[in-house]
Amino acid sequence: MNAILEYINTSGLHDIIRASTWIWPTMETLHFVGLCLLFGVITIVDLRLVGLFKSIAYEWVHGLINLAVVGFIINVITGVLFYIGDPFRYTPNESFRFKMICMVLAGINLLIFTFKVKHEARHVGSGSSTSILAKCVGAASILLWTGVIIGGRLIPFYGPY
Amino acid sequence: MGIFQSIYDSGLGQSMRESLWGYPIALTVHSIGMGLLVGVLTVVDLRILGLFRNRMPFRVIKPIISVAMFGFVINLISGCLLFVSDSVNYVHNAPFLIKIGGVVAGMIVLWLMVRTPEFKQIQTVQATAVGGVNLKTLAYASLVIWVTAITAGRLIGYTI
Repeated sequence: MNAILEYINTSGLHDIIRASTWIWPTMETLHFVGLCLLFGVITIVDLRLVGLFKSIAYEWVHGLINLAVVGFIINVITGVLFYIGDPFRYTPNESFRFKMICMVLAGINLLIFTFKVKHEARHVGSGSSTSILAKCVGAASILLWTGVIIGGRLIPFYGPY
Repeated sequence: MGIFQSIYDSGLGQSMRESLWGYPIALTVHSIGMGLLVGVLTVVDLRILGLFRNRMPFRVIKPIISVAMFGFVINLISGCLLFVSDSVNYVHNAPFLIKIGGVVAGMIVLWLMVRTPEFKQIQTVQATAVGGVNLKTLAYASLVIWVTAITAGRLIGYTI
């Protein structure tokens, strides 16, 4: 494990990320913009699954998932670059680990959504209710992505950091 | 600037500085509110500009603004808590002032948006409609303003 971290820590990409004063704050800003796209947008879809905004047919907001995916891609790229830039800091950090666990669980939740909820939800029209499973998946999504933000934001405060 | 010194010296200001978890919790809540506010307003702006026009009826942007407003309230409260912890330094910090200017401008733009004819007659607007010139201009301004506010906000931590 240490050999892998040492390899990352001495890589050319690591040196580039750490070379300029501006790269890190710029990546952080992009990570925040990605956070907004991912979290704010997926929350609209999740709230409809949970049962809010029943006047909106589910299908009308389903396409927004694409925009959330754009936010996710921005954050995977910037997130991986953070990790390459400081692997020995993130790896043992408990807030970071909590964030990663929440993200894996959110991924599993997304699989349940894709295979068990999505097809049926797309027929839920204006004024209709979603299934119990859809409500649970929507609520779990909001909670898990909130957990991702909590873990990420606490990295510099709880740790070790 | 006596008032900011008084805010700094207040019981709430002291508690925020002395508490181990007060500041990190307020900061975390502020990130969640930011995600709701800016993420949802981005959907509103992009739909006004024509994205998702074939899937999402124009009138859907009205109810979802309440989610953005919920994020704004969260951030007004958490932001005030963050501010009192270090008010004397924040008021002299350029990124902070730019950020606050951005938030005020962003909320004014939102207020102007909901006053346009498209919003006032939103229930009768065609499902595939896009904003008129005025509303589109406001939507572009909104996108630029919120990215600016986030960027300036992120830089506060580096410059204070």
